[in-house]
Amino acid sequence: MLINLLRYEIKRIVWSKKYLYIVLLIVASTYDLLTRLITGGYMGTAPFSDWTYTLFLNLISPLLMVAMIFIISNTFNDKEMRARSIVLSSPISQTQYYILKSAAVFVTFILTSLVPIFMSFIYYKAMFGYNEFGSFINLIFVFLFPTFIFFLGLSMFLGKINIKLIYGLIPVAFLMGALNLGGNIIPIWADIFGNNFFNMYSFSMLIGREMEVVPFEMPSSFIYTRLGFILLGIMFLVYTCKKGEKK
Amino acid sequence: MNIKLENISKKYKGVKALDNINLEINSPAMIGFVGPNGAGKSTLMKMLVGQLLPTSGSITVDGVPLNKNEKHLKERLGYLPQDFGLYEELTVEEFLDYMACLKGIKENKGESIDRVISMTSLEEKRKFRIKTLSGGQKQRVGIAQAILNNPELLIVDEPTVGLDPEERIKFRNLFSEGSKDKIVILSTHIIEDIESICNSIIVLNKGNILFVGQPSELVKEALDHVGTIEIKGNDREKILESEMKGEFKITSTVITPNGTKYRVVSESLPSSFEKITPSLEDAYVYCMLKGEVQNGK
Repeated sequence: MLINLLRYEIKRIVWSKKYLYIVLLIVASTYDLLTRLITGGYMGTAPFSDWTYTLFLNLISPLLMVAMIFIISNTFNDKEMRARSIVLSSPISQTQYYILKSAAVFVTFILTSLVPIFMSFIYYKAMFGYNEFGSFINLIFVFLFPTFIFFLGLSMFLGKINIKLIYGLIPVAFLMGALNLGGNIIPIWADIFGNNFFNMYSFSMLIGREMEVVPFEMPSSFIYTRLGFILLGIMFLVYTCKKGEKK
Repeated sequence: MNIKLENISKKYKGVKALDNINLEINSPAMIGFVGPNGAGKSTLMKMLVGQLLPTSGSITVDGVPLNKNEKHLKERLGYLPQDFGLYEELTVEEFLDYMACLKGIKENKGESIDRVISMTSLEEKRKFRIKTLSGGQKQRVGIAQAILNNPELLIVDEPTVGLDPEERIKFRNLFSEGSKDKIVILSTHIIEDIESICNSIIVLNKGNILFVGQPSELVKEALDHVGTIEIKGNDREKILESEMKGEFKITSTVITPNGTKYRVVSESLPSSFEKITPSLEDAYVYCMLKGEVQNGK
């Protein structure tokens, strides 16, 4: 039953013109990033180094997150609110309803993230004959997932208050991710995308380096901050699920 | 099923939408809610399905307070709100399958879907996306999802809006047949719908119940309060003036070869009027008029 419901929810998101345009934008953006910025490598490292791949993830994640926040806004738009009067007259609880919606967005996020990830893998294989993608998986989990979980929770929380807050979050999220690339504009405690850490870490490790290959080893303090964002996102989600809506 | 409302009141920003409502409903019943816009019909229905909380008072379902028994109610409920949305990206069949999953229909799910598709004459549209359907067809999808689980309690708010006369009659009969062993609550502005199928009528106005009983009882209350008069020439102005003053309400105006024939409802019918047997519509108007008189308006 639940799988069936999830399948329909995902279909509702994915089987739309909006989603097609989002995917096309991501494809175009990924192609541009790979051919223009990634192909030369980051700070003298190889284009397929962990350093360069992290840069790629940092470059693509603002667009991915904004796309997801935009998709989450559907949970609170007028159409959905009108359908909710029917949906919530069934035995499904408010908590189950939000879990269902969040699960659908989560699966959509995985599907959408696979577009730039597979494109990058294909690019590496075709351009450099490189196919050792194992270490990239770790980076994908550390850089993309915590950011997504945080924005999923925050968007659900804000959407429940007012959908306009989600629309307001879209440019804020994009600017937080895009403006901070190399600039360290965002304070370290608000380093949701992890690019503040990446800049500082890469400057400290790569500039004036003595070794030809510098391993990309993330300090545990950074991992903890990423776990912190996951926890915050989950807390926002739990609040959204539990907070009563009856007037 | 037994539903009991005790001293239910609902306030929106200081305005009373419902004022001390007391009501008991036992199955089987086919109940019609009537009243003008803003009477509190939709508010009352939303409370009955657990989507609104009363400001004061209690609702019990089978003896258990609704807030502790919501799942029990919703497993037995079919609901069609007045203003609803559907998942328009899905086909009719997919949407009904989605609703069947939500309603926890496990056994004979396919047959249940086929049954409601057939009952709502949506066979040709079952593979069509809902966004391609007309307003009336969407209304039928709304009705289909409401009856999908063969509910013990069916609450439908203005279900015949957007349907053509033939469809209206068909759905009226469908609700009526369904009420043999369950509770069907129907809210409408169309008195004819109530007259045709409801064995009980509840008249609401400004958050108060003005009448609860059988339609025939409502009609009985209006006896001697409905009449007709045929007016020639300038006397027309007089009758319209009297209506403006609230002495009576005109329920029909027919132009005849001799002038204009008025059908009126009045608390005290003037002797110049010829008394006639009231229709349910006349009785409803009389009930509203009496309510206003009692409120000193």
